Amino acid sequence: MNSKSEFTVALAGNPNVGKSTVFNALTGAHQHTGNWPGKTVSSAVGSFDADGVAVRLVDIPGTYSLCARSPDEQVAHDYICGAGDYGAERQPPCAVIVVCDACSMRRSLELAEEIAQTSLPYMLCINLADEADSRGITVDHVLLESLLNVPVVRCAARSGAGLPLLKSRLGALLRQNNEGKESPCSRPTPKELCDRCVKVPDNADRRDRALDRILAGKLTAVPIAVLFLAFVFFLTVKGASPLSEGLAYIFDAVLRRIRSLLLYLGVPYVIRGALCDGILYTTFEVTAVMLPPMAVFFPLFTFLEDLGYLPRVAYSFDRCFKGCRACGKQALTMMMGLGCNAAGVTGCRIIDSPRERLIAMVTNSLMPCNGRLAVIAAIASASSAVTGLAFGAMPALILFGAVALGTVLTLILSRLLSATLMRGSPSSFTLELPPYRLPDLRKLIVRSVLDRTVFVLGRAVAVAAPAGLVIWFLCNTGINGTSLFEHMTRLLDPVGRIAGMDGVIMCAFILALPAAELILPLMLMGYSSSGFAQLSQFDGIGEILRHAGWTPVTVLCTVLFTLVHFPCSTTVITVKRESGSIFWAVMSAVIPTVMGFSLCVLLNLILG
Amino acid sequence: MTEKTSMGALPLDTLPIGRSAVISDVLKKNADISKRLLQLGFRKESDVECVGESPLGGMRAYRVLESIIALRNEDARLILTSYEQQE
Repeated sequence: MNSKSEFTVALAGNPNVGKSTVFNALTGAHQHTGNWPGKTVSSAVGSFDADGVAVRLVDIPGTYSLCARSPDEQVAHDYICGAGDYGAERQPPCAVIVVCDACSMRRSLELAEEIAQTSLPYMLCINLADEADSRGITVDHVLLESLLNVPVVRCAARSGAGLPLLKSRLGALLRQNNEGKESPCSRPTPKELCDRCVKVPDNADRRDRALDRILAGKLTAVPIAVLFLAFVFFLTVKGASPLSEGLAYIFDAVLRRIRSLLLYLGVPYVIRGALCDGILYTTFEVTAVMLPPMAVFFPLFTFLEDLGYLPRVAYSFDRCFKGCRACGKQALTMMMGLGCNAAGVTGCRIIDSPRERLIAMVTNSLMPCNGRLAVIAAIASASSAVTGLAFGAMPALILFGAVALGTVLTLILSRLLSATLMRGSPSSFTLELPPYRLPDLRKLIVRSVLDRTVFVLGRAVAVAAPAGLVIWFLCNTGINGTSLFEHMTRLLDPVGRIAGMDGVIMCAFILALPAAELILPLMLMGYSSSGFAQLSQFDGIGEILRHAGWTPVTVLCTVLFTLVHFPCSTTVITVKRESGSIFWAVMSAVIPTVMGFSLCVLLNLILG
Repeated sequence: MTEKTSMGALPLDTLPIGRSAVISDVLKKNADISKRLLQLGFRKESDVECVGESPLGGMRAYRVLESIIALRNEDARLILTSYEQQE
C-alpha cells in the first residue's frame, strides 16, 4: 500500500520465462529481453492501468528461489520480503505476479510456493502458452486456480494474448486489498500440482535436443561457433563500410557549411578552429567510424542471444576456460567485447564468481572492439603498399588472425592471473541450456539499433568532443615554432622505435585513449602536414605510411599493439564501476599495455 | 576421493547419455554449489536424465525438473544416483 491511488506490484519469475516480455507488454517500456538467465540484473519500473486500478510494476531479477546467494537473487528476496530500501520508486509490493513458463511448470511452481509463504497476495501468469501448445504440453489452469485459490491466467506475452485478462484479474486481486487470504496449510506441493494439472508428452523437446546434437555436438560445435563468429564479423565489416563512408560524406558536408557560416559571422580563428577542426570534426569522425559497425554487430549478437544459442557456446568452450581457472561464460563476454569492450565488461555480470568475473573484465580488452577492428582492417588493407604484397584476402586473414591471437592471449593471461594476482580454484558452475526460441526480428532490430545508436552518440559526444579539443590545442599551440603535438611525437620516438613503431604511432595511441577510432586519424595527421582536416577519405593511406617509413615489421607491430594495449577510457571507467576497485581499473589498462609493449619489443628483436 | 560404490549410489557424471536415474543423495561441498543444486532441482528422489556431453569434455547436460542444466563433472560427482548399470 502506498499512495492511495497506486498499487505497487512486483513481477517475479524464474530466469528465462519471458518475464521481461510480460513487463514490456504491460508497461510499454523499453527494456532488453534476452534468452539468457541472469541477464536482467537491474530492475525496471513501469506503470499501467489494470482495469481501472493504477499499478506501478517493479520487475525484479529472475530467480530460481528466494533464498539464494547471488546478488540478483538477494535483490529479489529482499524486495519481496520487504527488507532493504529501494528508494521512493520501489515501494514494498502489495502483490506479486509470478510469471511461469508453461513448458517448465514444476520449477515455476516451486518459486510460487516460496512466494506464497510470504503471505503476499499473488497471482500466476502462465507465459509462453504458445510454446507449450506447439510442443503438446497442456496446463490445466482452471484446476490449478482452484487448487491454489489464487488467480491463474494463461498468456503469450510475445503476441499480447491473454494480457487484457491478466490486467483485469490483477485489478480484481488488488481491489480485494488485504482481505487476508488464510494461507491454507493444505496447499498442494508443486509436485502434486504438476502431476494433476500438467501433461507433458514424451519427447516434447525433441527439436531442441536435435538442434543441440548439431550446435553442441562433439564434432560440430566448435566449427559452427567459429563459423558463426566469422559470419557475424564478415557481415559487420562488409555492411558497415558503405555506411561509414556515407556518414563521413554527410558529416563532411555539414562541417563545411558550419565552417563557412562561422567565417561569415566573423568568428575569430581560434574559436572557429577549436570548434570545427577540434570538437566537431573529432565527434563526427568517431561517430562515422563507430556507429555503423555497432549498428550491425549488436543486432546480430542479440539475435544469437535471444535465440538461446549463446549458452551453448559457453557450454562447449567451458573446458578451455576451466583449464585457465576461469568460467565458460567468459567466452560470451569476449564476444561482447568484440562489439565494444565497455559492453563486454558490463556483460561480465553473468559470471557468478567474483574472482572469475574480475578475470573476464581485466582480460576483455584483449578482444579488439569494433573501433580497433576498424584500425586493424585499415592498416591491413593499406599494408599492400608497404609490403609490396597485393594479396586480396590479406585484410581478412589479418583480421581473423588478430581475433585468434586475441583469444589465445586472453586464455594465457587468464591463466597467468589465476596463478598470480587472482589466485583461486575453479568455482562451481551451473548453466541452463534454455529452449530455442525464435525472437521477434522486427522488435529486436528496432531495440538493439536504437539502444546502440543512443549509446554511441552519447559516448561520441561525451568522449570525442573534449578529446578533439585537446588534440586541436596540442596541434595548434607550440614552442619555438613546432606544435606541442610534434614535440610529443619526437619525445616518444625512441620509445616507439624499440617496439618496432615510431613516435607518431605512440602519440596516436596515447591520445586515442578516449576512443580507439581516433588512432588512425591521429596517425595520419602526424605523418602529413595538412593537419587534421580532409581525412575522411582513407584512400592513399598506404602511400602515406610508406612515405613515413613504414616497413612490414612496423605493420605487424602496430597491429599487435592495437590488439594488446590499454582499452578506451570508457572501458576503464566501466571496470571501476563494475568491480568497485580503482586498482583493478588501473590494472585493466596497465596489464595489457605492458604485455603488448613487451610482445612488440620481442617481435621487433626477432624480425627487425 | 570419497566414492561410495555401494549398491545404487553412483555419481551422476557416470550416468550414460540417454539414461535416466533417480537421485538418492546430494553430497555437501561448499554452501554455494549445494544450495544451487538443490534449487535447480537436484534433490533426493528427483528424476534426472543425461542428455549430452560438452564437445570438449568436462561438462555434461542433464534434464531435471523439465529444464536442461549443464554441470561440470566434479560438481555432478556430488550427486549420487541409483540406476541399473547395463553390461
